[in-house]
Amino acid sequence: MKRTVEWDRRRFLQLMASTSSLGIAGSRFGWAVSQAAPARKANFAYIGAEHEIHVYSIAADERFIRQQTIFSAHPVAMAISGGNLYVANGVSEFGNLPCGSVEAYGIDASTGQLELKNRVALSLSGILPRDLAISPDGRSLVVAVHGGGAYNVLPIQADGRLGRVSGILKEVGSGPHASQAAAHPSAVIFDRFGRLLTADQGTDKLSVISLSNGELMVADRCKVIAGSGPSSIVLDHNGKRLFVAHALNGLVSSFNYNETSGRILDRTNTVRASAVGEMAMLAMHPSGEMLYSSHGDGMDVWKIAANGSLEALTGVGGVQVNGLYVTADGKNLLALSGDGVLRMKINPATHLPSAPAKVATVSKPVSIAIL
Amino acid sequence: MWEMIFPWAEMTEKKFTKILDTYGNYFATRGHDPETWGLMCFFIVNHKASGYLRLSVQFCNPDGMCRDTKVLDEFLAPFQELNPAVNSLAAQSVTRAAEHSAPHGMLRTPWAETGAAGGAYLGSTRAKYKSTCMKNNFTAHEVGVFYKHLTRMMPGVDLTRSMVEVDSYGGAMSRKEMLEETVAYQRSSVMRLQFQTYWTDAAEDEGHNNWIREFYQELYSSPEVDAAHQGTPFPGANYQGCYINYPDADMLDHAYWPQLYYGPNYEFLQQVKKKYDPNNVFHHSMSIRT
Repeated sequence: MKRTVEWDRRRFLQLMASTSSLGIAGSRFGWAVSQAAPARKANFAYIGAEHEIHVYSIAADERFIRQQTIFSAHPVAMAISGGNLYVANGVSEFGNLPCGSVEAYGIDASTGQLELKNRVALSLSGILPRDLAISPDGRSLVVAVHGGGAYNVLPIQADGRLGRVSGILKEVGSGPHASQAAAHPSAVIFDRFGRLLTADQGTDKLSVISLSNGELMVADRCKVIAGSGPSSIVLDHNGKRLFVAHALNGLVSSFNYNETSGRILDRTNTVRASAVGEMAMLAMHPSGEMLYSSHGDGMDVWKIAANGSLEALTGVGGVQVNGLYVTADGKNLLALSGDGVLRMKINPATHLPSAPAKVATVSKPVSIAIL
Repeated sequence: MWEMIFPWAEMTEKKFTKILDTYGNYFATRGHDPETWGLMCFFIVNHKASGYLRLSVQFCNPDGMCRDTKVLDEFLAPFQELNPAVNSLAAQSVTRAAEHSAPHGMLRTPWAETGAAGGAYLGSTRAKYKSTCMKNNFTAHEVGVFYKHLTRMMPGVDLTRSMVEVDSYGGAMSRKEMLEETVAYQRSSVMRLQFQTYWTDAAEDEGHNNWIREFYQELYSSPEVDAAHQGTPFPGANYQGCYINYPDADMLDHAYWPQLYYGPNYEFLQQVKKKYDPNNVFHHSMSIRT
């Protein structure tokens, strides 16, 4: 047993080293960026809207200045790794086949502008992907395929291009809610050991999935409240707490997680958000002390206690939210709203967000990545 | 089971036209008569490179026996003037019980042994299929396109295992009341065409795909096919689309592909799919999409 732990520690350190050198952006990771090394200021923002990706430079005064707009089919999720932007296209058909797709873009380091490297089909029946994550070693991209009820793995090649799907995990099942006739994987994140944690909005399941040699295998399952529709997850920077936003009943839950064994343990507590919508999203402050959530209408702010339980603080009302993002330096909370990007400065002492101010006008933004 | 062959060595375009017209005319005029439903034909219209056309006939009376061959005689008689030959290849391989059946110079094989004759294309590792359900006899345009592409030689492409199999319809497939109870909607067709090409070397992929695609495209690009559905046997006066057991991903280029394969049943089948396979466990590129 001791030998296993030692190996895990070594592997963890290796992964952390490789992650640092790859420059993987923090917010799309399951765990918040470590506080040990100060995060540099963000330079560029990538906002996915219905049929395009908008590229912005971020000025010293935090203004977003549009640099480029390029076509992309329903860019519902984004992640940055190794100087490339990876995008999940939330479509139900690609190349006349019933599948979604993912794209790899090279990022010009000086201008932030994008150049498409390639676009690759997901597995047959893998329609309407919802989320994606990049492995800590930067070599694999995993996609949560909401419509097709599956997870796909694609290799990231040395030049940043995506290879063909190398692994498929097909999910089946249902739930009691009218929208839960089938499995709907909605969120995927990595822990620091390279395991996947996932949420399935259709079957009310959280899963721990191992990734080895480009293939996926279920390591642990955890059933959550029936009909709740877990759809967004985030792991704290210590890898000990897993937070879950449920899309179908307006709840937010916290779970203990054993990162060494890769097991989801007991549920710490469950709180009710201020509004119930058809979506749910989460973002965590890099300090691990504050959680921000939204179910579409307004935003809730939760203080995380030492035992992982959540205490409601004053939230932000009057805004429609499609996505949340905390910058790696912990200074800004960005919300995707109906007609643009809203920025809320985060108080460094309290971690409470300020009143929102629009920093970019975008019609129906759905995804964001910051470099 | 009876078989006859027509060697390409003795073929002219006129004779080829007569053979296809004779075959198609029988089913267009008689195929809906329940009396003929015990007649099942596999007409393998091979590419010229293979050497011959082969017509295989299975027959039984409505009671499952084979005492009255009136329908069979009626079907076979018009072919006699076209001078068919006994399939000597089949005579060697089909069965030791095979015997000549006067007066047509055919092979006669017990039903139980007919299945042993398959596997002609074993060893082929690559294949491409297309299909058409036909409601009428071949048109002059269609026969001309058949002849053109079945005699076309393509350098570097071995077309010895390329063909159109023209199967007769009949039996329960002609029962229109089954339209609302089963997946198959092609209840008015009299012939089903299976365009097939087989090969083993990946270097020939492009050549074989080009051959079958160009053949099919030209076949359904006549003025008789409406402008919106050129290149496909869209359901209408002459065709009933394609058969889903021979899915052809090329048809996905057409937004109306579900109508080709599932006809008016598609919406109903989507509901069935939602109910019995909501997780889409059973799927392929042309399966029911919900």
